[in-house]
Parts: sequence; structure tokens; C-alpha cells
Amino acid sequence: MDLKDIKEIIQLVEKSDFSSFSYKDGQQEIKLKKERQTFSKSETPVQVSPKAEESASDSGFYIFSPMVGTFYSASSPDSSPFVKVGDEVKAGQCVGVIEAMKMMNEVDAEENAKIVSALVKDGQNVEYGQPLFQIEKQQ
Amino acid sequence: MYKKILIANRGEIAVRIIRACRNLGIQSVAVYSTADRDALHVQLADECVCIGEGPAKDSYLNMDRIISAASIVGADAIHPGYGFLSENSDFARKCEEYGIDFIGPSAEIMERMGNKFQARQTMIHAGVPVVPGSKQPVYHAADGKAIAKQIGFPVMIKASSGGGGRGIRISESAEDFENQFNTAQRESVTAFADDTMYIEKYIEKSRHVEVQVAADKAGNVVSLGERDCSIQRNHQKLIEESPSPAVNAKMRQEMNAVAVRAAKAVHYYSVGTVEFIVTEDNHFYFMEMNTRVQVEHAVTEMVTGVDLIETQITIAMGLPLSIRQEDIILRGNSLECRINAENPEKKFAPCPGRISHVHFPGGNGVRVDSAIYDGYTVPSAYDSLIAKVIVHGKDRETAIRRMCTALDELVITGISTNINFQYSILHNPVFCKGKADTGFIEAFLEHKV
Repeated sequence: MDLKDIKEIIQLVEKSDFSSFSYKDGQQEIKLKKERQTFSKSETPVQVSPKAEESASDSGFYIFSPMVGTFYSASSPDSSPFVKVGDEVKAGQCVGVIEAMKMMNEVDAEENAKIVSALVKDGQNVEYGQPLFQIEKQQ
Repeated sequence: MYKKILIANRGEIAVRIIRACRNLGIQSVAVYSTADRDALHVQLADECVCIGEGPAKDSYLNMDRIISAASIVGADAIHPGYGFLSENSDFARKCEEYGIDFIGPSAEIMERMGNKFQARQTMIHAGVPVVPGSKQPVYHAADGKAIAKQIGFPVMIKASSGGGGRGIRISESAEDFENQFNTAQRESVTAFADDTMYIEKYIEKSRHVEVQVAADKAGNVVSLGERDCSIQRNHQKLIEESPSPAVNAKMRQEMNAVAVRAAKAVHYYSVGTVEFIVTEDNHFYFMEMNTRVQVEHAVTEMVTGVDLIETQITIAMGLPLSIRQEDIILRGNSLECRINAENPEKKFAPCPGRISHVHFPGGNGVRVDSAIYDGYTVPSAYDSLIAKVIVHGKDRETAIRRMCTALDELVITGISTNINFQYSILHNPVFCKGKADTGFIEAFLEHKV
């Protein structure tokens, strides 16, 4: 192996996804190792609103919409919302209402949970199965 | 002009309606169950809304969820397709209540024709020939038996609110009448929550011939010719064709006129189908009227050149019919084969599952209406129809030949289908001679023809 070969091997490994490479030929041996790159912490993360399917495949838990309609986070425009992020809710507690067919239907938590995030806005149209809140289950 | 239509259906008919909306420049909205997440109609529509879990009662039969979906997307109208809520007058009424147009006739018209006994009476008054039968509804077996003796056996015992072949029994003689009546009535109560029955003479060796009509809201009615749907298994159609080999020119003229008269008798509007029984001696009798678009509408489209779904939508928008009776000519012959996900060798057991590969035929005079694709999984929650292969030819022989070529080329792998079964019917001499009546499939399965 001469210098030219070694240069070529280095370039190939650099371009590849391999993190390490070793080659032995009789008495000659070459070992290469790539250092992992770390991204600068100053990069701002991009917010992406999750699609229904993607969210459901996370290991997180959710409160899903049981019907088709318009979601409201409070019982009236002047009232305070049923729940806020960080609230702990009990099973059966109302977390929002969905208006369908000119009727208001309560959406209740099915189990004791803590609200991690609200995924829909007040007045947003929702479909069946759409995630409304991300939750953390509690005892 | 509608800006947006919500399609309250799925499968091939939903795709068909979306295409018609596209042609008319109207936005389409698909609704779907969780079992239909990967369905073609969901991908094709401009918008889609998930309305519930797989079972039809939670999704495609759920009136509230469908109307709610129409409200939130701002749909001007709902097209109900066929089956599901298409002939449900409560649904038509609810749409009206919520200010959404229902693409079909009014709830009142639907109810008049949906009550089979009432429909008969209406037709009798309109001078439309009906199968000899009971003049009153029947609630008790004893009364029914007396009427059956008057009419003459064999008789058909039918549920007044019936449909889909349910609540129907044949009684060959006075001996088995009570049993058959009670069974049919029980079925009617279970399926339709109604114990009203009626009796009709059972005409053996008959053909099922139906006439397509279209009517606008101004009272103009046209007839678009007949379709022969005698090839049926358990009252489920398999092959349909237009024109009918059992109908001569004189009969055609009369049947078309009677169909128009029937539609006018109930002030019908939208598209609809008047069903007749045609006997061996060339008599025809009104059976019932279907107040929706049908699976086999494509056959009429091929011979008349009229787009029935576009016509249905424009009628709903209040536009007058653009076609005149004198412009409607049946050209050539058209055949349709329904392709089902079923196994004919296992008593036609439904065969849902993943389709690994699809290849559709094409070419001159060949049309395929379907919602399946490579890798698509046919769900178990719905009916087994997965494709319609429709051909047109200058005559019946050409059409049959074209259908054989098309079915030869058609490939659907991964699940069982009835393609080969359809192919064997097309090679049967009775069918090829145009002599297949409603008893054909049963005889065919018993190797008697």
C-alpha cells in the first residue's frame, strides 16, 4: 500500500456512512475511525405540527377526538379554558367540548392524566380520531 | 352551482363521483372510516375527513357524523352513492334540516317508492302493469294464504319495506305457505322493523329488466333504455347488459313509456331505475323503483353516451335536463362484469386481504371502475365488490368477445376473486344466445346448463 492508496481509502471512508474501517494485507494494516459530528446548540429547532398518523405512532399518549365537529377549549368565549398545559385531570373530567350538529358534546379524559400539550386550537375543526391533547398517564 | 360536494360513500362509487365532481369543477370531500385510511377515494378527493371506526354504523351509516363533516368543511351538497344512506329518507330529511342539498329525490318521494306495497298501488293507479298480487297489505299468514289461493301458486311473499333480497320467500303450495310467510315476516321485522307483507304471483323463467330514468326538478323526464340484470346469485347481480336480448323494439318503446309514466306518477326527480319482470311470452310487469344511482349505471353510460353522475349532480343544482328524449339512442351493446373479492370454490366466501398486484385491461371499448391498487388491503367490514369491468361493442357478440379479452388480461393477485367464474359464464352457450333468465346462475352452478 502506498500513500496514494491510503489517500483514496481516507476519501472513500469520509464520503461513506461508515464510522470505522480497518484493512490488513500481510504486514501492513490500516485503521480509520470517524469522529461523530455534533450540531451546534445554537440552531433553532423547527416546529412541525404533527400529522394524526405520526403522532399516534409516537410512544406518547393522547386524548383523541370521539367525533367530527368544531373543538372548543372553553364552555363559552368569555370562560376560562377547561384545562391548561400542566393540569392534572381525573378520569371523566371534561377537557373540552366539540360542537356537532348544533349540539355541544363534552370530551372527557378516560383516565387520570397530566396535560402535556394542547394539539388543537379553540374553534378548530376536528375529525374522528384526531389527537386533541398529549397526556402523561397517572395513577 | 355547487362549490363543494361531500361523498357519503366509499370504494369504486366514491371514486366515480369524485371524478364527476372534477369534471364539473366542483371540490370533492371524502369521508372515511379508520378501516379506509389507505383507500383510493381518500387520496383522490380534495379534502378528507375521518368520521369513525370501521363498522358501517360508526361511519358510512352514521348520519350525524356525516352531516357534521359536511358542516365543518362547508359542503353545499352530499352525494350518497348507492347502498348505505342513499335510500334513507331520514338522512335526506336531516340534510334538508341542516341546509345541505341531498343529491337524490326528496324524502317524500323516497318513502313513496321505498314502501314496496304503496309503490305497487301508486303504479296501479297510474295504469302501470304490475305483477298480479294482493290488493291489501298482509299481516297474518291465514289472510295471506287465502289471497295466495286466489292468485294461484307459486307465489312470492315479500316484505313491504324490503330490499337487498331480504324478507322474500317463495311458496310453492298451500302446504308450505304458513311457514314461508312467518319466516319472511320475521326476517322483515328484524331487518326493517316492519311486519307489513304483500303477496305476488311468482313468475318462473322471468328476466329482470330495469329502465334507467332521469328527471329534473321542472318535471321533465327521460328514459335512457333498459338493462338486463338476470344473471344474479342470491339476488345479487353479477353481469348486466344493455340493451336486453329479451326486449324487442316494440317492447322497448312500451317499457320506456311506462317507466316515464311511473316516474311522473310520483313527481320524480334525479336519476332512478324502474325495475320490471319480463316473462317468456314478452309481458312486462312493474316490480319496484330504485331511487338512487345504481352499480350498473356504467352500462347505460356506454350505450347512450350520457354521464349519469354528472347529470344527477346538475339536476340537484336545479338545472334543467340538457338531454331530450329524441336525442337518446342506444348504440351497440354494453356488458358489465362485477369483480368480487370472493372464492367461488368455497361457496363464494368473501375473501378480504392484501392485493399484491393489479393489472387492469384497457383499449377500445373497455372501461374499469375500481378503487383497488397494488398493495391495497381489501377490508373485511364492507361488501366484496372491488372492480367493475365494462365493455362496449357494436353488437352483443363483439361486446362479449371484448369482455373475454378484458377478463383474460385482468390480473388481481393476493386474494381470491370471481374473475374465472365470470369468464366461464361468458363462455356458456345459454348466456351467449341471450337466453339466460333469473334461474340461470342456479342452474349453471348445478351444471344443468
